[in-house]
Amino acid sequence: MSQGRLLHTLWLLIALHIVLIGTLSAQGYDDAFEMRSKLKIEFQYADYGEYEYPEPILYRYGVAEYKQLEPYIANFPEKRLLIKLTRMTGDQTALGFRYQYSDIKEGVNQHFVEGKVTKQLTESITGLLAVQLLRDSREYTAFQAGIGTLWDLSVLTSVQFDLQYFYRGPEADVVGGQLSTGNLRVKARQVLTLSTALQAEYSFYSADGEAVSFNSHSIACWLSQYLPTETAVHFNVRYYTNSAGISSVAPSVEVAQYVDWATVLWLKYRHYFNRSDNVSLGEESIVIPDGLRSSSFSAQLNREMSRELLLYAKYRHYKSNMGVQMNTYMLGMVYSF
Amino acid sequence: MTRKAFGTIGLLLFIVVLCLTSAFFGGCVSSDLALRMETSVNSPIMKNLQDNDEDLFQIEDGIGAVGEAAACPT
Repeated sequence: MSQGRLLHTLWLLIALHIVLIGTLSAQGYDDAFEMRSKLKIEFQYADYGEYEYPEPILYRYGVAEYKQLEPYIANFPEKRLLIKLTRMTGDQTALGFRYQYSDIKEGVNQHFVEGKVTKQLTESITGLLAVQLLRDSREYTAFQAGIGTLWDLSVLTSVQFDLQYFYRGPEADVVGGQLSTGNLRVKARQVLTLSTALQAEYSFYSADGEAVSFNSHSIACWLSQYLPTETAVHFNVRYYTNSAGISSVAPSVEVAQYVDWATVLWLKYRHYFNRSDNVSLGEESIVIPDGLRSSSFSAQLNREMSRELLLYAKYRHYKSNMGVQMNTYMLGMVYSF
Repeated sequence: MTRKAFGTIGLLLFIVVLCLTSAFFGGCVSSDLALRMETSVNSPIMKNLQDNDEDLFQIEDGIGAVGEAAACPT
């Protein structure tokens, strides 16, 4: 073997080594969090428009129309576009900006903007400050501000507190007029073993407005188990009650599986059932009906294409005993730079 | 002597290539992946979907956006 061939072989090996190391490190799932900026774009579409509300007029007698109430489906945006930019402005501070366009139902849409500051206050405490503005096509604007903190008591225990205040004026008469609300959330996570964690969350919500005034409490628990097959299983149950006459229970199970170190598949099933005094929480024609039962199944695939780019897609099927079903599709990406 | 030395170097290089190949195609992982497996309880997938993505949480349950949405996940 000549010296030239030996050198050639050595260079080849070094190059091969670099390529292999590069390939392995590029597959780190959460490497993107070390980047200075993140751009997130999501597009979601749901076909609930096909099922949304039944004909509201039951029959006419003379000049009077007898209408039935619209069944509660989901008063949150299922058709939307989201753009979010997060940028580190130093070692300890991140600024976030989010814009969201939501198509609520036919002829109704919302623009939502948010500014957020997250700051590492000490080695174990992170603080958060957020301001949000919402403009509804039904000619009203709402404002919300929030403050929160996450405290890592140890590697085994963390606690999180959040406070939010919301206000909308009397011009929002179409959804119940003036309303101010306060929201408190406390969340704790405790590691039980090397592969088991328990998480609990309590939230208190107080609403005071022209059309509704009520308090609500919800409590949720998650038991999470990591399996040797690189699988995580999350068992969750949530109980909700409010002073307006609604209580509900919603158990769910989530399974997350590493397909490889750059690909994660999430599967989730959630069931919901309630007891209600057929109350409305704002829009008069929309009630939360008694005996509502719904179930949803979703599958989400996350694929880290490179250190910089994460792509994901989601499908969800929702069905309720009100004769409503819908399919929701989501495509998203996070670009880190 | 030269032939013997090159033979030894060749053998060593062969072993190196074998190690790298087995590391790539076999079960060996880099140190950070090994650490990740050791601390499986803190793996990213041990956070539930809600904790992994606050935006997703918002569309799942309606919490987190604005007050009227917060009233909805009854």
